[in-house]
Amino acid sequence: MTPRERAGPRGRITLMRAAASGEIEVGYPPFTEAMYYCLGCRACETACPAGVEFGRLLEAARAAIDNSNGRETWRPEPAQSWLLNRIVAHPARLRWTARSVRLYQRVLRKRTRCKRWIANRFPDLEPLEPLAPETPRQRRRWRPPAALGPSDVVTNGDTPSVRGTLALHPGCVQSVFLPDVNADTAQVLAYNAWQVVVPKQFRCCGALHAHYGQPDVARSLARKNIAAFEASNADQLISNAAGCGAHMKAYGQLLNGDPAWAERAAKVGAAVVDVTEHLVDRGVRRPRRPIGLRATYHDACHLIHGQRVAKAPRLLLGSIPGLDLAPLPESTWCCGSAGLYSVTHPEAAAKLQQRKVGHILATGAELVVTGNPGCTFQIAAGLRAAGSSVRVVHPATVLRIAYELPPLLPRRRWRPTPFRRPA
Amino acid sequence: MLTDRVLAGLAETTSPARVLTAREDLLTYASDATALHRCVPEAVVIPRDTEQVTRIVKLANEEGFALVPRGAGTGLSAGAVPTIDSVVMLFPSWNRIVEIDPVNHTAWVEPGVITADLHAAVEPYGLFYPPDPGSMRICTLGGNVAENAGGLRGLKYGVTKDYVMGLEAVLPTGEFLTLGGKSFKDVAGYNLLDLLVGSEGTLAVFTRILVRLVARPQSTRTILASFDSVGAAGHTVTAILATGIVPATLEFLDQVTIRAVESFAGLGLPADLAALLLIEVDGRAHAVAEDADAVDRICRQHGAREVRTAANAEEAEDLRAARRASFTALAQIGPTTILEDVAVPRSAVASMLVRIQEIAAEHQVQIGVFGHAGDGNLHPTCITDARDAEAIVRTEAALEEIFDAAVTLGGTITGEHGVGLAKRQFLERHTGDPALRFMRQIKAVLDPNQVLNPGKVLGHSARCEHPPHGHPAYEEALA
Repeated sequence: MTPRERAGPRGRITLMRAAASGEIEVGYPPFTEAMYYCLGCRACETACPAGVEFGRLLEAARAAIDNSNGRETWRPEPAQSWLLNRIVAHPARLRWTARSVRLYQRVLRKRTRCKRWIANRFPDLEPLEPLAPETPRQRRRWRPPAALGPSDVVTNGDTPSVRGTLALHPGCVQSVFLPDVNADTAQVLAYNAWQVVVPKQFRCCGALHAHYGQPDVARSLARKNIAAFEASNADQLISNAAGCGAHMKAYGQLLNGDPAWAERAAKVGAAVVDVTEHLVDRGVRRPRRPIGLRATYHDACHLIHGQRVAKAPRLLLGSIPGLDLAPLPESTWCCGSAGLYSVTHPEAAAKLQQRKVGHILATGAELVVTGNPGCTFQIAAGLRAAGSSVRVVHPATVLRIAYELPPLLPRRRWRPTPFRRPA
Repeated sequence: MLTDRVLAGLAETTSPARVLTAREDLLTYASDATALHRCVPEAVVIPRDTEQVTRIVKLANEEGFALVPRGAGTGLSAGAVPTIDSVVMLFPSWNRIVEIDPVNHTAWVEPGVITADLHAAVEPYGLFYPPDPGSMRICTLGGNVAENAGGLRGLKYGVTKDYVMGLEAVLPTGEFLTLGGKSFKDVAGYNLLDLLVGSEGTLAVFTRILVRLVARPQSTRTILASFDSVGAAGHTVTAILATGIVPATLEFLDQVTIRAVESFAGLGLPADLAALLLIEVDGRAHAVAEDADAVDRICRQHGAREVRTAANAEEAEDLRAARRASFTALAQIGPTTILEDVAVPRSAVASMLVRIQEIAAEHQVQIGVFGHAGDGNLHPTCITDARDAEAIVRTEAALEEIFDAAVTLGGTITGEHGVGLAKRQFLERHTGDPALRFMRQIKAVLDPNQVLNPGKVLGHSARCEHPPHGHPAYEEALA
């Protein structure tokens, strides 16, 4: 296909201006298509010489499309809105959904008739199957055990043994599908003498809702998270999922039209920090245990373009003895996951996925490290499809292993292990 | 309106998929990077090869419609903005680097090659293509040649015209033409090559370009000096060049720009700084070290408040940060940014800066200036709001005075952006009558039917219009 202006950020902005000035209607189907063909990876923001915040423009444009009711419009599938508003926004419902996914993965799909019935009944779900990770068992929501504390810090009594309290945002998808990443993050932070809390009131950060034209839901979720963070009395809000972190950092902008919340939102937004960024900025223990593997690092779009964090994770990985960190060509390119993009635009997403997987395999790495659940699933699915055994992990997981900390959440069975100090 | 016959003809010449007429496509080709200029084309055509370009140009002559060639649309003089009843011509798939000749230091490229891609492609050969316009990561060489693009390295390395050795082009009548070659010297006949380079799409469509390459400098040293007065910075520039050192880069930032950069990027620049100079010397390692020391000394002698020399590549990046952020920082201040580019002789740079400040104050327009102090090419950047008619009137009045001031000081209305639509009304002041008449005669001879980018450079009527064929004003001007 010939590259077209309307398939690039500049052309999209031109179309937004045309829609804003009434030259084309917001409900004009090609306008909607142009807005949803975008990944929202925000690589254009990194490249932009004029500092245009394209992500915000895109969210506003998509919100305008959704508000243009009453006309015959192309819009995202109603199922998506339903999924975002009725499931993802509610932790308990999301856990129940994950339980059914687990039931399907472990039992139902092994029975041919059952599988066929489901495939006929819910054809929309079929493209999701290869993407879904192996769903771990869901108990109640995970919280760091009380035993997990920064207790092994030698002080003279005058200096506090705890450097500060951090509220860890567990993420909606992450807490359900990758709870071990949250556990590893908490462990690594605790090992670096931070007190970690996971407030019960945290909800989904609302990033997906904001990206998919539902700013009101996004704002309501933001208010809940802001209140929860304030109540936790933590110093900083730690995010370990790039998409969530980028969105929460912009809470101030999201709520700047709401006088009662604008100031609080800006304050909380300023307190958000990615776990790798926090560790490097505030100093981190040097890992001792060598990991004799070749690894490579994939820049999650919303970490590098959304938060401009590129050095911190590489510094952390570089500090691990024996870890051979191979540079990944085009590491700053999107893997095609991009929120719901791999579901809404499977073909375009698959192209990006294959390109990414090709680069990864060419590095000869045995481990791909990345800081976002969407990327993790997308890249892992691509590697599985290519018959590769390369594993995709979060930087916190690699660090936890290099610290010789036993996993809090074993992958198979969920059994809390008391925190043990390394010998 | 284009007739259906024209659209059918275009589709037949190329293929239906290569002719865009959907509203959502046309809207996106209505403007380039120039503020305030916009005109929706009637169609967009994407030729695949020279043969198709020739046939499209011939069709334009037969049917009487205008063709506007467009590279990446990053021009700053509205050169790629369509005119009424025009068809935009694109070259997205013409992006092959056909040949790199390491012996003759040349490369044949297609016009759609991105400038930064050429930089990267010749690097393994130890070669270097010096022109580096600000948009080099997306702009194309076809556009660079058409606009005679400059960059940060103009003082030492020159601009695009110094690196074009040959061209294959389609003339406005549809004739195919080859000019120049790999021979370093060539004085056979009139210098048509230089006529076409910088012709802003009005005299030819380039289909292949032979560029000259140079050996990559062995080493580079970056220095950042800050000054309490613009005068001191100006004297420093003069003093450096007087010693015979020719820095590859000699960039200037004024106080408005420095403050904007500081509030945008927070680099720790004091608010009372009057000027910053970013200086880069390159060449053979030992010479670079000597030059860098000399530059450092001269800066201090001329009252620099602080001089920092980068010890390694990473530090050099830090020193460049302020210059790199200049445009971004200024663009944050207001909704519309008009980036201008007057150039004056080196000796008049300080006077020009003072004049710009006076003009800005007089018209109450916020103007930040940064630019290439070594070659006298300054970028007064106006912060305004396109939605506020009164502000635009003030801005345009200020710009007009700035152009006049530049011409009075012996300079030019544009150093590297070109005339296009944006500055055609000022061209006469700069060139004067006989020169402008010759230009019109050249255009009339090469493009008798006014099909190639009409109204650009040598315009007659209001913005976004061009005189219809046989318009009395046009005939009058030619007479």
